[in-house]
Amino acid sequence: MKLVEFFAPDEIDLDLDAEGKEEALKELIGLLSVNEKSEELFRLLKKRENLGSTGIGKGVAIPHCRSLVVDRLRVVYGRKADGLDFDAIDGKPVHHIFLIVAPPVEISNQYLPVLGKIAQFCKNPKNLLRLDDIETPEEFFKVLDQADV
Amino acid sequence: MSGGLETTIDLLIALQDLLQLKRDLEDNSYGELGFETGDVSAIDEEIESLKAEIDPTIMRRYESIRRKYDRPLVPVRRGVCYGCFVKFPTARMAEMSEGDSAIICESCGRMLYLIS
Repeated sequence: MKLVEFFAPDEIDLDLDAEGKEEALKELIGLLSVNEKSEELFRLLKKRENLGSTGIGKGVAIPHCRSLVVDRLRVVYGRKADGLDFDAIDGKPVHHIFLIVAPPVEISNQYLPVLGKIAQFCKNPKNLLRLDDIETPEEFFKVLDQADV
Repeated sequence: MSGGLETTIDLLIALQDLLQLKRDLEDNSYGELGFETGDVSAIDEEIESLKAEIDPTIMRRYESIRRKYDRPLVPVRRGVCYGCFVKFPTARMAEMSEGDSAIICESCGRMLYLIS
């Protein structure tokens, strides 16, 4: 499957309000609409971050986990034009955050491949420049589609 | 420590998610992706802390099931156990309620929680 197929228009936020890492995680979790299980998911993601930041550098973070809270693989994207502190490995602000949450068991076993595809997509600086410029979720889909991951 | 986790099911979900996190971080395939993982054993303390908050009887049941299955706790969705995928009779479903920590799948023996 192509990466673009994992996103929905209402799971893309091109103007995050968050000023820091925890706020950003909460805001992105909000896009998942897991309601009363949001707190559990936040705790788990925070635990993952405490072990090692998923801010991989060059303005990108890919927080991720598996949880019983979701019944299928979910991916959401958030952008912060001014950047926020995500304790990234290069010490620089993060502008693009891809949150991935999968159930413990998936028949299609997409969790690691999707993580890999997003990491691969973000390694190309041109893709990130394109994401900097988009103004609508539809343009987000076009960027992913053009990247052919 | 587990502020915000109200029910036994919440605690069991948190525990199982942490156990899954530890397994994932120790997986070679995950390691190849290049994410920082730090000292994975740091999760152990939180796992033990969560276990201590769960009723000992339920914890013993959970550990007993865990000797057989990686996922002792599974959801029930649309009347189906997501451990063995056996469908429950409608009457049995009517007896279940969300948050009930005593439901066991009669087919596979896993602990169940209800998703509405």
